[in-house]
Amino acid sequence: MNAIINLQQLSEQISALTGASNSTAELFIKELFATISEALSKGESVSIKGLGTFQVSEYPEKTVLFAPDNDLAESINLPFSCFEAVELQDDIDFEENIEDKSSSEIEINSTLINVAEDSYENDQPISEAEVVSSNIDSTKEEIITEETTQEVEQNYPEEHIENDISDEDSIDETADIEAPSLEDIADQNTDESICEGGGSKRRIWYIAMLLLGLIIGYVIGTIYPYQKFVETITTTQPSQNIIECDSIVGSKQDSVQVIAIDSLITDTISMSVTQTQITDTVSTNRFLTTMSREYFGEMIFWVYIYEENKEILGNPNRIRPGTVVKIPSAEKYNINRNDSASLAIAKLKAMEIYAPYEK
Amino acid sequence: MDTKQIVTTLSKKIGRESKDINSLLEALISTIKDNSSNLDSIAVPGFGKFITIKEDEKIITDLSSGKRLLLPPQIILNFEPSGVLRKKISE
Repeated sequence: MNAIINLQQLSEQISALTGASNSTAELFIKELFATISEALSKGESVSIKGLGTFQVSEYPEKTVLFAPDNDLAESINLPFSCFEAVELQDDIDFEENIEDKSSSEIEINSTLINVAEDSYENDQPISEAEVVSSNIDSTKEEIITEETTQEVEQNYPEEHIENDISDEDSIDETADIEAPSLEDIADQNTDESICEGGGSKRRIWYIAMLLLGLIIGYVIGTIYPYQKFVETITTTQPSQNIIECDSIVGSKQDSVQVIAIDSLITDTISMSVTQTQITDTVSTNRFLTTMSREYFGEMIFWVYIYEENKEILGNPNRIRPGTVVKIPSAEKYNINRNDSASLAIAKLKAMEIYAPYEK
Repeated sequence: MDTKQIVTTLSKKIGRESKDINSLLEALISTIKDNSSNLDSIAVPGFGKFITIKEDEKIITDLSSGKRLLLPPQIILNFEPSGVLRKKISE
């Protein structure tokens, strides 16, 4: 480092490399540079491949110009070969940029990865939600929830013997699509309520992914599952459901999509939750209010869960742990946590429910 | 004057085959490379000094366009001719 290599050391190094004697190497160096200087004194330029070009300068203050060969320059600068000249933006702080260049790049990469992961996570449940929601008809919602319960029950607890294997496979597919979305969407719902003050970038990403999900879900939801859905129902349960399915397909297919798209932007998650989350179990630390807050965003909407299950529930304050309750859809009772009227109605309803037990 | 001419002149002067001269020249270049990479300078008596200078990264501004470029650090190989060489040329 910063040492000066003299002729002696240089010739030693060369002889070590070539195997020639020290004196030969020394003679060679002397003769080489003597030849170069002779040529230079004649006004010629000397270019040696791998070393560079020596040239006589026109300016008296710098008599000889030396331009190193590209190979030589590159191999000397090998430690810095990973860097490139970067054009700076106008509003970048100088020192920060120089010091944290590499670390900030890493951060950018990691945020990109995060965003990518987020988009993946967002994309999946939304498209599933759309698959589910495309099946929603405002007039036929009860029928459809019953149908989905039938589907799930068919696939899981009781093993129905099906004549057509491909039909059963298709049912499996639809049930599989719906099943994982329960937990995912429930998680997302709680996350959303906790981090509502999140960054606007995240929100933009969220909306973008939502729209993407809508488009994908629209295509998948309209064309593929509907046909399968109708086929499976007509083959497995012909007597009960043919009329309902026909009416869905015939009259409501287009309007379903419009409704789904309009309402999805605000209520995608809660809709799909209420459509797919059919039952829940009361425990010592999980009450109707807990479920209500989870599914509808407000505790006060427990009244609608109670309403949905009033045949099996008595005093709302004396529900036994282990009781399985149905969770209604948000549309059925016009549940909207942002609507003060909806909240007020729920409060009135709570008073009504409590009235018989307060005597 | 190019590499070939230098090799032939040297082989005549020293009295060795151009093949040997070539290998010696290659060895010289690789030693210069190694020493320069270590930021060492090489002094050749009667000819001059090869000096390596390490420059830190810097920001340059293009006055015409106003764009700013961040240049990476680099090692520059400079040559400083000795007094003997300078005299020889100016004569």
